[in-house]
Amino acid sequence: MICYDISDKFPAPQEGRNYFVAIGLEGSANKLGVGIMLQQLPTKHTPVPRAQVLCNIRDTYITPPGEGFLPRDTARHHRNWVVRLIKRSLEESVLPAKMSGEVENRPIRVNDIDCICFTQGPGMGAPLQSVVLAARAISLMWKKPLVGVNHCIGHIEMGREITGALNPVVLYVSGGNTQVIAYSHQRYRIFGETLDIAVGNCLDRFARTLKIPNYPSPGYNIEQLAKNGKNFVELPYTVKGMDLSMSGILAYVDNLANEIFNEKSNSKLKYTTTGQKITPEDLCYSLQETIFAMLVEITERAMAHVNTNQVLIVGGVGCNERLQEMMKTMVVDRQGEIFATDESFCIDNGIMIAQAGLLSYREGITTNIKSSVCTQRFRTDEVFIKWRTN
Amino acid sequence: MAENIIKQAHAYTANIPLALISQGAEALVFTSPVHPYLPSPPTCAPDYILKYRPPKPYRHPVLDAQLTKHRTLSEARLLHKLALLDIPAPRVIHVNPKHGLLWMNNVAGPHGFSVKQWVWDIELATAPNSALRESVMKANMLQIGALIAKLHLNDIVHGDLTTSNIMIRPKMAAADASVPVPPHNILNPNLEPVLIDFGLGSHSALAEDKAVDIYVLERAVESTHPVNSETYKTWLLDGYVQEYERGGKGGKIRIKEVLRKLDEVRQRGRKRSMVG
Amino acid sequence: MSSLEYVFPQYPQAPVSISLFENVTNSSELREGLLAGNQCYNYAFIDAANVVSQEHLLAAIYRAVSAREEGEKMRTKNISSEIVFCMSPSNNIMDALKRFGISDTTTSVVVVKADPTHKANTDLVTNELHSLVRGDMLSVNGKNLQRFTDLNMVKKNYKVPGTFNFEDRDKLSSVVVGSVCLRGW
Repeated sequence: MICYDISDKFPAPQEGRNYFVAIGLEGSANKLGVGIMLQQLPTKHTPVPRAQVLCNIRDTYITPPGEGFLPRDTARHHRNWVVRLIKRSLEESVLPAKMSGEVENRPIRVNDIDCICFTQGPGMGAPLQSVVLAARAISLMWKKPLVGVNHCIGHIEMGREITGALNPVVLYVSGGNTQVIAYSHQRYRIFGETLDIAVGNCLDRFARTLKIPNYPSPGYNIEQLAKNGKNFVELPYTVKGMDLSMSGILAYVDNLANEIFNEKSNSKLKYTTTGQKITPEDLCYSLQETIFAMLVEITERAMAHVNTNQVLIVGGVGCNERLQEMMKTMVVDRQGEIFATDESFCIDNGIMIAQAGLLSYREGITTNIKSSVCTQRFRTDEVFIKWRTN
Repeated sequence: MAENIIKQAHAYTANIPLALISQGAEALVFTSPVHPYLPSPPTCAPDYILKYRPPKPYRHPVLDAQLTKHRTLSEARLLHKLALLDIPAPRVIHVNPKHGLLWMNNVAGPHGFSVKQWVWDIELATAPNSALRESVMKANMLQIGALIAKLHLNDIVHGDLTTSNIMIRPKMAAADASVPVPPHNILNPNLEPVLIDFGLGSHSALAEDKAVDIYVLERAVESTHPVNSETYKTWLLDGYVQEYERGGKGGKIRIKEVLRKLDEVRQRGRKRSMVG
Repeated sequence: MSSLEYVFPQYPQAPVSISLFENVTNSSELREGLLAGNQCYNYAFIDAANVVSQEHLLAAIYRAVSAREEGEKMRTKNISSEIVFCMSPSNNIMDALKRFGISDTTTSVVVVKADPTHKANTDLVTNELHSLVRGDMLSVNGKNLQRFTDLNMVKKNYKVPGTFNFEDRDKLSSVVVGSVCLRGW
C-alpha cells in the first residue's frame, strides 16, 4: 500500500518566487529519463499558465535483436547513467530571466528545485529500485522533499498538459500497460484494460520472433515493416466487453512466423487464400491492423459509456502513426477530437514524472523517505487526484 | 456520419418504417411497427426491433466484415438458445449476418419498460421504506434475480447486465387476442422480467464470469439508484441464490462457488491486479 | 376458396401466392411430377404437417425470396425448391427436400408460387392448382396453418428437446423460426 504524507498546508514557492520547479526521475522499464519542469502560479493575467519544460533528457537501454531487456541488466544500465543524466539536466536547464527576475538567463541550480519526483511504480522491480535509490540520495543531499509518482498518472497528466485536452478518454498504451481511462470523481478510472499482456509487450515480443533490431525501438521497426505489408492475414480478435486479451494473438502470430521461416514446413497457413506466400511484412501489417482495431473498439465503447468525444493517446505505442490514424478515423466519425503527443512525451520520460509530481506536491502531498518504496503493482485508480475538481 | 449509417439501414429495409431508439458504440437500434414478413395490423405499436451493426471504416475491410458477421450471428444464436430454453428474451425474426442486421420482437411491448425506469417511477410514487413499496418491488426483484440465475444455470452469461438491459412488463395473458391488455399501472405487482441486449453475451461455465455478470449489475444499481441500492442488491441476490438452490444438490454446490468468486471480484473491482 | 396473394413490404415487385389443401389424395403423383421436373409443378410443395404457424411458413418463404431479390446465389435449382429448403434447419438439401417437401404419405400441403416470371394472378394460380392437386382448398390464415402440425414430426425434424413445452404454439413457433433463420450460417 502506497503511503503519502498529506499536509493541510499548501507549500509556497521559495523566497517570494511565483513559480515551482521539480525534477522528475523515470526508470520503470528500459528508458531512463530525467526532466525538469517549471510551473508558474496563476495570475490574473494568466489564470491557467502552461507548464514550462526546462529539460527532458533520456537514455534508453537497447538490447541486440532477438533479445528483450532483463531487469538486472536494465537496473545496471540505470545505475550507470542516472548520475550523468541528473548532472546534465541541471547543466542544460535554463531558468529564463523573466521568471527569475534576474538580469539574464542562467542554468537551474540545486537550490531552485522544490521537490524530487520519482516513479514509484508500476514497472519492473530492479530498474524502479535503481531510480528510487538515486532519488532518495539527492533528496537527502539536497535536502528537498520526495514525491512518489504513479507512472501512468505521469503519462496522463503530461498528455493533458501538452495537448490541452480537457476531459478526454485516455488510451494508455505502452510496453507495460494497456488501459482505457476516464476521469471521474477524483480518480482516473480504468474502463477497459488488457486481461493479460500489454500491446507494446505483444509487439516487442513479436519483434523478437522476427529478430527485428531493437533500435530505436522494436515497435517503431514493426511499424515500418507493416507499411510494406500487402496481404491481410486473419488473426484471432479478442475483445471481451470493455477489456481485451493479447496472448492468444501473439501465440498465433508467433506460430505463423515460425512456419514461414521453417522452409521444410508445407503448412497451408503460410499462404494466403490466393496462393501468395505470406511475408513478415504481411504479418506485421496484420498484427497492427488487428490489435489497433481492438484498441479503437474499446476506446469507442468507453466514449459511448461516459458520453465524451475527446480521446487522448499516451504511452510509447501512442507514437505509432497507424494507431493514431485509425483512432482519428473513429473519433472524427463521432465528431470528436483526438489528441496525441510526440515522441518526447509519448515514450517514457522524466518530465512527465516531474509534472505529475509537482501537481501532487502543490496539493501538499509528499513521500516520506521511509515510505519511498517502489512497487511493481500500482493501479492507476489507486491514486487520489487531489488537484482536479469535479 | 450517423446520417449515412441511418440511410444505409433504411436502404436495407425498403418500405419498412424505422425509428432510431439508440446509438451505441457498436450498433444502432431501431423500432418498427412493420414486420418484415408477417402481416402487420395497422396499429402504430413499435412491436419489432432491428439491430444494425454498421461497418467501421477504421478497421481493415476483411476484419470488419468478419466481425460484423460473427457478432450478429453470435447474438442471434444466443437468442435462439434462449428461445429453446424458454428464458424470457427477444426472439429472432430474421438475421442477415453479412449486412449486420438482426430483427427481433420488442419484448417491452406496449406496457413494458426498463427496470431502471420502473424503479425510478415507483420511488416517486411510493414512500421510502413503506409496506406498499416493498409489496410492489420485492417480489419482482426476487424474480429478476431468479431469471439471471436461470441464465447462469444454463451456462450463459449476459455480459452487460444493467438496469437498462432488463425489461419488465405485465405478465402476458394467454395468447388470446380477445383478452384486453391491462391498463398501465406502475404499482402492478404482477410483472415479469425479460432480458435484452445480448450483444456481449457468451457461453461460459466459469463461476468467475457469472460473478462478474452479477457484479456489473450491482455496480449499475449503485450508480443509477444510489439511495436504496443496498436493499435492491440484496433482493436481487436473494432471488438469484434461491433459484440456484432450487436446482437440487448441483445448484447448491455451484452457488457457493459463484458467491465466493463474487466476493473476490468485489474486492478487486473486477479488474486484475496490474503488473506494471 | 382461393390462394392468398402475399406481398412482403420490402419486395412489392415480387408477390407470392400461397395455397393450402387438406385431404390430398394424389401426393405420389405430385411427387413424381416434381421429381420428373415437369414444368406444371413449378411450385413449392410443403408438407403442412411441418408447418407450426403462419410465422414459420412466412419466415421460410421470406428467407428464400429476400435472398433472390438481394441478388444472392440460390443453393438449389430454383426458387420453388429453395423455399422448401428454407424450411429446413440443416444445410443438407436432399434431406431437406425429402423431409419438408411432399411425400407419398402427405395428406395436407402448402403450395407456394414465387416465380418472378409468372404474373401474379391469383385466379390463374387457383385454377391451375385445382387441376393439379386432388384435395380441398382452405383459406390461408394463421388458424388453418396450425391445423395440420404434427408435433412429433416437428420435434424430430427440428431437433427440439423433449423437455420443451410443445403445448405453447407461440413458443414453438419462435424456436422453429430461429432455426430457419440460422440455417447455414
